[in-house]
Amino acid sequence: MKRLLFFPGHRLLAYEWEGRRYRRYEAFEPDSSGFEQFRAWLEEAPRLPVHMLIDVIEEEFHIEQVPHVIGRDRMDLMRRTAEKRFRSTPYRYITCQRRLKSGRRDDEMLVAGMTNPQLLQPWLDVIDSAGTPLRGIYSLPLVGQHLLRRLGFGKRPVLLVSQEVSSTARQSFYDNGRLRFSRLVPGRYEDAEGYGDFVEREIEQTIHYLGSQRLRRRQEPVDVVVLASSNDLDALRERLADGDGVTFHVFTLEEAARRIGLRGTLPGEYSDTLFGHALLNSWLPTNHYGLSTLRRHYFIQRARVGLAATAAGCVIAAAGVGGAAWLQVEANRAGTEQARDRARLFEQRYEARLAQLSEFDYRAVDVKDAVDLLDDIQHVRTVEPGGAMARLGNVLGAHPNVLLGRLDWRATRSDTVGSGDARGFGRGQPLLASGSGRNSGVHEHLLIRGDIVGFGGVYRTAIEYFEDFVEALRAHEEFDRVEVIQAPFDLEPETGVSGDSGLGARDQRASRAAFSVAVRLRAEVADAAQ
Amino acid sequence: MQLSELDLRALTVPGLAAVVAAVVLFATWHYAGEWVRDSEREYRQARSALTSAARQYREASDDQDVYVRYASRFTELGDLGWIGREQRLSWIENLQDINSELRLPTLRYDIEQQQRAEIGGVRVPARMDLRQSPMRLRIGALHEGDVLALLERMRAEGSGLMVVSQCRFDRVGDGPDIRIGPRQANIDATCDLHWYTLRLEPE
Repeated sequence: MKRLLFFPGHRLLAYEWEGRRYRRYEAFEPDSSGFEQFRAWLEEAPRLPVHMLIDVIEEEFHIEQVPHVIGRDRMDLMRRTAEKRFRSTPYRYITCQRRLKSGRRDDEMLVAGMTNPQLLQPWLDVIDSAGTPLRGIYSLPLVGQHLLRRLGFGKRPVLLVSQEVSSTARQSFYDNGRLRFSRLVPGRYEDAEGYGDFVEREIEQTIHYLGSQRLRRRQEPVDVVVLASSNDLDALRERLADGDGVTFHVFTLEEAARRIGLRGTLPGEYSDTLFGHALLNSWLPTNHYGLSTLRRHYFIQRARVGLAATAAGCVIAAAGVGGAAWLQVEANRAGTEQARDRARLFEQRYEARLAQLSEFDYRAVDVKDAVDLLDDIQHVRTVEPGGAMARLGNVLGAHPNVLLGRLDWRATRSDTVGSGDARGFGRGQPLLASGSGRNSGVHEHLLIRGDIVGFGGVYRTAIEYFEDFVEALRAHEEFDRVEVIQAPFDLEPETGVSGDSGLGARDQRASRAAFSVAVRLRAEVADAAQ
Repeated sequence: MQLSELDLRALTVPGLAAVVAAVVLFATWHYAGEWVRDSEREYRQARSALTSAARQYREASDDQDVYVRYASRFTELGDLGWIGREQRLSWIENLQDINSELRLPTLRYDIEQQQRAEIGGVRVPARMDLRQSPMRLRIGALHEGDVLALLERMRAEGSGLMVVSQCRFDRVGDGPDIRIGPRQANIDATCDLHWYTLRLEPE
């Protein structure tokens, strides 16, 4: 609910407004009884701010042109301009309406003031003593800017004619939605016909005045909006005819109320309630005459509301923070419980698996490595002499004149055939080859020592037997290297030779011829033998 | 605009309320933040424990897979005496059993002190101790086939992993004639072997 006080200069009208309609209407006379009644009315809702709307004949409006300055200078200039125009009253108001487009491009200011401050004082004293917050003191012609916008005349030049008390007419001229001129005209008339004549005459004079003051440009169209009671409607419509750039729009109060969204029955016969509605329905309306000393209770009340709102906001925020934290903690707790449940499940499964593995004293990786290592040694890296000996036996079987005396078998990582002689035997070298794959780098060596027999003492025959044997070894596809270490009879010029060619020694010399041959088995044969 | 005592009194209650509410908000903010942080820490710890338990279980599962694949072979190698301490007495008894069938005229053995085996190109895991005992067999046989048969049976029935590195076969006597008799050797063979065993550290 909002409270509105309307002061037309004599008595005070009080309205209660809620939900876009007036719900109560009181009138207080300016006497002790009226003041007491007014105080009682205020004390019904002592903390509810009141809006005071004034429409007095002592209110003046002027247009001033001042240099365009900004910042603190602008504020000082506006204050000085208002003081210069209205020295005798603290109830003054100044606002910049526009900036001129020519010359110095001065600012054009509207300066308003109420020249008789004593008019309001008794009522303001009651408000102050009651401790009622005063939201502001508003000028009715200035509030007319809001009303016109709601009536649909926002930008065009408009002359608004209204009646707030009997025997007067308020005429306010607006251009581009801003008040440019206003005057309250007293009149004397007996009936609706007389009121019609009065309004027609005053409008004509005002239109003429606007032109003379250059407030209206020559032949510029003007809308004249007349707010009238339904009793005066016919009389006005008879007299107000369009022409000479002037267009009349006559609205009854009820019709205007509908257009501006005011619901319910109007509490009076005048248009102050329309202005009041426009004021109360505005978002943060500008205060015109409400001095800060007069609005002290309002500021205190706003501060109380602000502090209470801050407290409430803090409490709500605390509740929100606490609630959000609770939700987060609950989510974390649920997640924690779920994770713990799953961890317990894994631990149970792990224990069960561990029980299955308890028969082993060794780590799984050790078991695997041990098996791999030993299998590698057994199956991949070992060779035995049987294979090589079998192949040699096949060759010896075809050479009956070769008598085997000694056979050395070795498996080494050396590929030198000749190194496998008797001097290398017996060193006990491990037979584990490096590298990868089956027997990679392992070679089987045979050192064959024996005698050529049955050659009848003919050396050439013995040499032929030996060479046949060596040739057979070299032709064998599974021996890849064959090296003669010692031939039966070494008759090369580089070596020495000795013998006994006597008759007694002939048979003995001719019976045996020693030799030695080194053979290496092909590596792939050694692999295949495993 | 000066504030009167009445004005100040009017502002006292809502002012105090605002201060108290602000303190409540600050305290709520502070303690709620700690509350949330504690719960988040607890949640992270639970997640970490879950990850650890899952990893432990997965590793146990992997271990079980390994055991399933290798356990029987591992046990078999253990039964063969390839894993664990060298079973020299068993080996000697086994050698005697073999020779009771082959009836070799001569069968002597020399087993040296066991030592750590270092084999080039073979990686022995750190937790394992691969050991070797160099040994030499001196065999007197009717023919070389008996020597090969002995080596084969030792490999098949012996209680150790034997690797032959070299053998020497010498014919006994000068002529090609073979002497027949249970105590008459025609071949003297000398073979060098390495006896490998693997020691494991229990878990």
